[in-house]
Amino acid sequence: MRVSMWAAGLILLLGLICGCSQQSTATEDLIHALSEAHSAIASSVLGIDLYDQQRSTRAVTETLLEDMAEQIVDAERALETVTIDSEQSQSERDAALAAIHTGAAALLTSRDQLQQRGAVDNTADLEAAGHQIDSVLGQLRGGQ
Amino acid sequence: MKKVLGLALGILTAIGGFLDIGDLVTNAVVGSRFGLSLGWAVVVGVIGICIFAQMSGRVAAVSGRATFELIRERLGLRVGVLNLGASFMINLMTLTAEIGGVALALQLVSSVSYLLWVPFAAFALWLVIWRVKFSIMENVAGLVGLFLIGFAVGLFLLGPDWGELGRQAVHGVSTSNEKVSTYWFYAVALFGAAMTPYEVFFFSSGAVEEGWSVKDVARSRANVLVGFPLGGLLSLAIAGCAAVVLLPQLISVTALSQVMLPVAVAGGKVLLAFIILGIVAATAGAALETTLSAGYTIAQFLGWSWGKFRPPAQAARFHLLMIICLIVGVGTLMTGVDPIQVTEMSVVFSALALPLTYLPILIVANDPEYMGEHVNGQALNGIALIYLVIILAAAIAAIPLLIITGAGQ
Amino acid sequence: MTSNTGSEASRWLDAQLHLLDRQVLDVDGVPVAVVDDLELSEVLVGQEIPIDTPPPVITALLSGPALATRIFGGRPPESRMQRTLWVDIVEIDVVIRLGVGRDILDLAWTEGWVRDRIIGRIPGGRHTPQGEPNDERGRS
Repeated sequence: MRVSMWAAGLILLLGLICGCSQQSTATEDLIHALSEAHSAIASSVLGIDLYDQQRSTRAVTETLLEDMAEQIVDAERALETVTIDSEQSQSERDAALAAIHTGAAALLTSRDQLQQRGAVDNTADLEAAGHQIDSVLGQLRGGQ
Repeated sequence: MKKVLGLALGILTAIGGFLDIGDLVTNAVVGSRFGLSLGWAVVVGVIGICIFAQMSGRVAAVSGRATFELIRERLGLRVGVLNLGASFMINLMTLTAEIGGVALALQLVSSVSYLLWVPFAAFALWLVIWRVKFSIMENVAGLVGLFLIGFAVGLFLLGPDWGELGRQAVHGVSTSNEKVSTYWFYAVALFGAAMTPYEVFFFSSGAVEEGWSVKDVARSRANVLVGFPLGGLLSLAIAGCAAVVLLPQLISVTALSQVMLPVAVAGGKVLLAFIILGIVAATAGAALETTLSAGYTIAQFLGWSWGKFRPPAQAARFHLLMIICLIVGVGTLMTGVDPIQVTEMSVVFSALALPLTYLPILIVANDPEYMGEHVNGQALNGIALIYLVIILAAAIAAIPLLIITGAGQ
Repeated sequence: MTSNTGSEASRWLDAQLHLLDRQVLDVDGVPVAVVDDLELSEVLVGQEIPIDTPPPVITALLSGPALATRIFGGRPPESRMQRTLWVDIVEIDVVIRLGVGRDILDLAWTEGWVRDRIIGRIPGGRHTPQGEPNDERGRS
């Protein structure tokens, strides 16, 4: 009897917590994905810079670009699950998608260049993509 | 002279052995997102593990009984089985994370995917458990793990604004986009990373492995009280490096390769090499400890013969169990699950499981039947009880915070 | 207490506190089992005990697959439990020490099987780790 009461109480508590854990809005999801993308791009830019300065090894930089490419592709994929509830969030998502997509393309190129040629020369593209992501991020955060 | 060397060795191995993949990842993540504002959680955790490890080491040395033997004898079967089940599962999770950590570090050296390193690493670990003497294993892993002191060196080389870091530690980071619930989630995670339960199983079983007696207790006290806090300082250094280089650029750590960025900034390839070697040693050492802990917990509870000091044929089930654990760890990692996420989950669950082992140790440390005259003094009991409250609070908060924050997102 | 200690002063033992769940070590100090149950002489389950029956005597310690039954109820049948004869016990302390080696005991069956079939077959399984003297490091 006592055990079943404890179990019921515990289940109730867990249910309450799950209910209370915030359902994120579409904007929050977009911000989260864009933050991940920003982090990936910024890490890659820094990593490539260190490699060019001979302060980092090829193995570490290759691993970094591999990891960051995976991360930005995951961020892009996460946008698929963002529910659109208004025309505004539609345009927001489009902007986010465009920015992240540009970033992903640049990052994948950097990764491939390093693996194949041992050097990266599209840092300008990476940085441009980073700026694009940051500006969309700024707009979304400003509108919150 | 030999005594001084022995003491130094003990302290150095305690420092090097303190850090594992959980500390590495959690501190780096926290540093990159919260700066040093969660530094207090590391301090609280370090004091806690000092108390906990010292008590369990003393209990093992004086009573000759290791942790899980005591749990069954003293707390009875039902509580014991529950305790065993939970501790074992979490141990297994931590083991998986550590093997993942070794593989990730090897990827940083070679560019070969970590997935290919996993079986190789696990086999090498098994070989060490099978054939290498306990003390050699401890000493080598501990001393090479000490290379992680490179993080402290790196932090100095980065020439940070110490005042700013100090302000972060006390007042928090002002420009943070993080929620309060995430802050507390990571506080629990850091606490769990510092107070990993396997450390204690291992410590107490190690005491029996090496045949400690009462006079070894004083030496162990020195190792713990000096070694662990220094290890804690290294944790803070890891967070500090991330805070100085990654936080300003809003880079949040999600991969081990990102943890290398501040290191490369600070000291170039040389420092990078040191640290990666240190990571391999520290995570390998931790993987060995968790594997042995998995063996110790089950074998001690069920009354099997155990111990590395015995030939494997004399502790057959103990060794078979460890082989199975390693295989399970490898299997889990080969499914492609992110080792970093496994690590983060393992530290949170460590915090969840802490009361299960802390409480029995506290009880036995006060039991004159086992401890004779070496029961806890009043001062120690006072602090130990305060920590019991902290541990219970962290354990209760762990799952709700995990759910609310979606594992720290 | 019973049989083997004619010369010692007797000691009170609480079965649950001092015997149950205690580790059993063989003559070399190697762990063999944990006590799960006790075997008493002349006590038949389910039958009335006549008034002037002498008090039962512990004849053996029992170990076996009793974890589930001890938690949820019931007892495994006698044939599945392994006996450690009371007369083989030399000391009852924090652990229970026997005066016989594990090789002659039934208790060590699983351990022996794993040793012979699996662990003993892997190279190096019968040797101590490198550089370790083959001393039986005592207590447990």
